[in-house]
Amino acid sequence: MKTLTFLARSGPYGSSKAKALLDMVLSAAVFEQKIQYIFLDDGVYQLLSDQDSAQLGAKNVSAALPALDLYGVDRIYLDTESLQARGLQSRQLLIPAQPCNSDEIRSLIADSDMVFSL
Amino acid sequence: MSTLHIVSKSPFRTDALQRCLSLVAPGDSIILIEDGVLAVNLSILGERISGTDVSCFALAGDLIARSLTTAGTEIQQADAASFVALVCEHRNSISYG
Amino acid sequence: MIISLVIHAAPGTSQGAQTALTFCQAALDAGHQIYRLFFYEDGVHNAHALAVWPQDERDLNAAWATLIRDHRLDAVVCVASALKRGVLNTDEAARYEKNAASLEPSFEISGLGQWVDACLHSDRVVSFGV
Repeated sequence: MKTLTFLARSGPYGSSKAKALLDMVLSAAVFEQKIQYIFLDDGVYQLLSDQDSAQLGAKNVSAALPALDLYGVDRIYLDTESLQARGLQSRQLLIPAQPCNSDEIRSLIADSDMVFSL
Repeated sequence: MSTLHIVSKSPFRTDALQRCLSLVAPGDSIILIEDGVLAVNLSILGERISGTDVSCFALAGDLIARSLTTAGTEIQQADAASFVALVCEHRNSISYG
Repeated sequence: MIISLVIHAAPGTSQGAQTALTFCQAALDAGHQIYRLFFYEDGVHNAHALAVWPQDERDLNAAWATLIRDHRLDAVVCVASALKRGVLNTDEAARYEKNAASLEPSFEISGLGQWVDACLHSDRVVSFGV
């Protein structure tokens, strides 16, 4: 088993990156790898609850996030500095994520065999 | 065991370099490629690597194409073979967009 | 070492595909094994057989095909990324009743499982064009 770390750094909808990284996470989960899924920078916007993309004619990217638990992806982290820098600290999140800082992200990366960032 | 941080975007376009500098750890290396080399003269980069054991490289082809040099910086030039060697020397790599 | 590459960028738009190609060639020259090239998202455009490049530009589509053939590399395009970008092999073109196939034959169409497999069997996986 390998430790794969995913840095979700892009907001939803503006590009396909959020969805592309989520698809990688779910595929790796099917193969039962150790997965660390870290939301930071604009990636923290992916976790906001009550997203509604109906007017965009686009799929709701966040709809698949609650399924992470079913796939056994339970190491989900959220960079608190990114959240604060965007004025989102009081916002409701869609799924539970462990608050972390840069020091903790550094040690998660140091423990990883491979890192993917989108 | 350490990480190779691969930065491919201009620091004036994305937060790739900024995020790289916040995650870089002692013993890690940074390589600037493509528009990432536009950071070659940036003081925030120079100050972050100066006096540390973080090594910073820039792809020579990308520098030359853009009429940039590493003169007066602590950044070393790397060719494609050195880029491959850096990937092998580090446990993992992060590509920042 | 055993190395795999993930290519996210289309040729001709950003530099990522060119950088990946140069890296791949340098890794082979240094004696490393390339386990797989995985083309994801816009990266699947590198596998387009119908691309025609101006004579004064390097034809990246042809360069990939040549490198893959010369070194018998395993080159996979992500099926979900490929279909929506019109990169289809003859089977997929027939299945979806399209009147042309566009996948350069040195590439194969498969799923993200092939990317996970590359992670499991490689010492290093490097991403380009993110």
